Amino acid sequence: MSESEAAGRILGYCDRISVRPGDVVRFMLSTPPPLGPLQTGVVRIFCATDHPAGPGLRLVPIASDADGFIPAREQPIRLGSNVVVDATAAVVRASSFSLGLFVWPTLPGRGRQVLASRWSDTTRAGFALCLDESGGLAFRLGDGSGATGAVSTGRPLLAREWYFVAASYDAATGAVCLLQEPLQEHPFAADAASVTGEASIAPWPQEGAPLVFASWREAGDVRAATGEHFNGKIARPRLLSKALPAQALGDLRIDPLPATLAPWLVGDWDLSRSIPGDAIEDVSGNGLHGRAVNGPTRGVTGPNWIGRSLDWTVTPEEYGAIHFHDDDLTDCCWDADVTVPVGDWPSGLYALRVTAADGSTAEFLPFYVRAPKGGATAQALYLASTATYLAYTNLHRFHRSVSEPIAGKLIVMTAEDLYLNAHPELGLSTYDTHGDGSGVVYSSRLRPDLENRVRGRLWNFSLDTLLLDWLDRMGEGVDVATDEDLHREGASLLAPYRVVLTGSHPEYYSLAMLDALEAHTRQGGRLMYLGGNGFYWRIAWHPTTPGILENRRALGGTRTFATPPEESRLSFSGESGGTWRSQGRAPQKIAGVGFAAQGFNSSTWFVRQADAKNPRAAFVFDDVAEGPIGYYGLGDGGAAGIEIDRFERDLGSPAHALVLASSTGHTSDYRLATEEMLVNDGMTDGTNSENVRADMVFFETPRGGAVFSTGSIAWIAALPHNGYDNDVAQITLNVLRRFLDPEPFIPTDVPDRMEPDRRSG
Amino acid sequence: MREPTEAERLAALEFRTSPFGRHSPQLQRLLLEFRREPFPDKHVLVCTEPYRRWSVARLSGRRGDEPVRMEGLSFERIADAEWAVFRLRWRRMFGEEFA
Repeated sequence: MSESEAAGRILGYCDRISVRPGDVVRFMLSTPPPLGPLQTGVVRIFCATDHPAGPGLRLVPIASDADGFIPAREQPIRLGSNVVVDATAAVVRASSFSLGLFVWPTLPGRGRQVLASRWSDTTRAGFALCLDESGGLAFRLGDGSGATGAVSTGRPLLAREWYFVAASYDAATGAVCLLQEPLQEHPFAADAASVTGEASIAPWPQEGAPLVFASWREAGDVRAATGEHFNGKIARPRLLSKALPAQALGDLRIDPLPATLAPWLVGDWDLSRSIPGDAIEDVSGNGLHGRAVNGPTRGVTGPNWIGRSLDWTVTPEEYGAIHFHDDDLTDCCWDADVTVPVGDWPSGLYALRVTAADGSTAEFLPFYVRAPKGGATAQALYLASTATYLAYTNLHRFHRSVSEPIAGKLIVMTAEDLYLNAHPELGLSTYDTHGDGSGVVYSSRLRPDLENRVRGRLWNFSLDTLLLDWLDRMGEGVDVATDEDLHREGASLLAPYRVVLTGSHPEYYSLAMLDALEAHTRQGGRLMYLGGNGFYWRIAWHPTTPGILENRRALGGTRTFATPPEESRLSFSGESGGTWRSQGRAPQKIAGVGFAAQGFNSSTWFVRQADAKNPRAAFVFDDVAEGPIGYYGLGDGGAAGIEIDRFERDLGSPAHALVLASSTGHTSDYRLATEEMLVNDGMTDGTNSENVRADMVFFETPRGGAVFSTGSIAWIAALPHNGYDNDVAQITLNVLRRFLDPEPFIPTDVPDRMEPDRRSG
Repeated sequence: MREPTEAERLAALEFRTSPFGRHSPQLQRLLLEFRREPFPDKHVLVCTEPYRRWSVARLSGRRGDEPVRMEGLSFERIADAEWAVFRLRWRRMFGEEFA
């Protein structure tokens, strides 16, 4: 047992992260067996970080139905994706059969991987078409007595090449035929095979054993055990209730299926249909529809992809593949342990606190309580960046050796990192790559999150609570809402509020979210963007299951992996993935500033620019002394840093925007965002590029609205300096109070940047 | 293996004084190389007491492998741990202890 596990760990998640008084939130828990009873209760979170230079944890217990003790129990996680087709009569009747599918393996030879099966590993019963340990096609069968047999081609498939593979079993003769057919000839590779063998035992699948693609799975409910997950793509699986001889197996790949075979067609799964979501369509007419489990990647190129379009919505027939991974996870499917009716609690951030009865360990499962429906309780709304939190959930920084030069400091592994490293079943983040090297595009909150937590790294969730703590101490009431609320409800969510405040890093935005925020600023609303690298990636949310997002790192951008251009379309929505900047809506358009550079070991400060003297922005600097602003803070020692944004007229910063202050003094460890250069001219770091900077920007918007942006993740981290008494806090308070004032903002004395666009002249 | 230059020795002293912040071109160059140290056996820190103690360890880069702690290299300041790793990498690059 490692140190990370020695104390035991309480894992959990909730079904809804955003609720209102009167709603119910359910918590699913799992703990390793040594833990005894668990004590539960609700706390309101003001400050979630125990950083020694910070204000300290501030968690206030709230009486609720959750107060009490519950027994600890362990609940399993079934890691790895697959497609499941229930064991209907048609599937079960196919005692003699032929199975064919296209396959593009990514890790052939990395253990046995099942392509299609009705197999129980506990009873060794059924059949499985798989890639064996050598990476060659194999057919395994078992009669449930413990005896198993296998026929294999003995010829490994090449990684990342398309093959058509098929197998047949004749119940009358015991004949097994295998076909392994590369779609392209690979010189000097002996990767084609046609094999006929004889099985001495009959495959007798267990009653109720489903037909499964990309793994085996025991009969049972959603938490039935699975195993031998396949890594790679599968396309157009077909099942026939007839054993074809080896020379005829290739007919299974013909589209449309030859009419002579039609009478025996049991299932014909066209994976190019219903790409957004989990539905798997059987086009045989038999209605054997299935479902994708644990989020294999859809909207990916199939064996017939020829590049007519890079967009699956244009040529869906070329996107009839699904990419499976043995480390996919979208839903732990745990049973609830604690149910909490939400009382008449003030809008804010709360958590279920779960403590081992012996006090050895505790965990907090956060959720947000909104104002009652139709009843805003404040003039300001704090928008929790839950999409960004989710994109970072279970980030494996330590997977990439490049994390050190990017950060400019040694990789630090916390207890949570050690746990994640030892427990792959908690899944990956959208920054990580799967075991086969492909990028992770989905992230779900229906699983434990070791990234966004009380006492976690000072980053995103815990960092943002410094804003909540400060607002409360200033007596400034805010309602809270989450990104998921914003996506679902749009501009109507923001309409009751004069001011919307963001956290430190609102990076991930769906179209509906961005439209809503933009509408707010066009209709007289005010926006305080108190972060860096905001409004950056264009995401989509799962069409039917709340809490699962998709992001594709396509079309440039600063990123940990590159999604192939031909797979840049979001499967959940059909929209183009990638950055908003690459799609005509750079962050500058909404916030006045957009991502410019990043560095993670030394923040700096802001220096006032000429626009700071403009009377339009005089309120910003009330009671703020001359001199540099924010040369302190928990974010690497300054208010300007980590990820920083700059004003850029060419990217849409409003012409009348005032650049009040800019950061200076960044080091060579601060490096320009890759999208900030076309040709690398060598001026790309904080010591030589003028674009490596954060700009503090203010501008008025139509109907009396306004936007204030700090363009720095480190800004909020500087709030608590000197007991929250400092220039950063004063500026933030000045802006908040003026933004709360209904007096409309009317731009006067606009600067000479209002000249016609210089490019058109 | 080559001898460190005098400028590199000065850069090392600079790093000991100021591991994070503005650095001379010579130190920048050295750190780019050091920090790119690949798996396996890449040096990392394991935080053993939050905000209070860090141990130097080596990571294989193979998923699931535990970081292997290095005896006697546990520190109460991250800067000291950075300096310890800097010296290990110095020894690997130049074949001698940084004196």
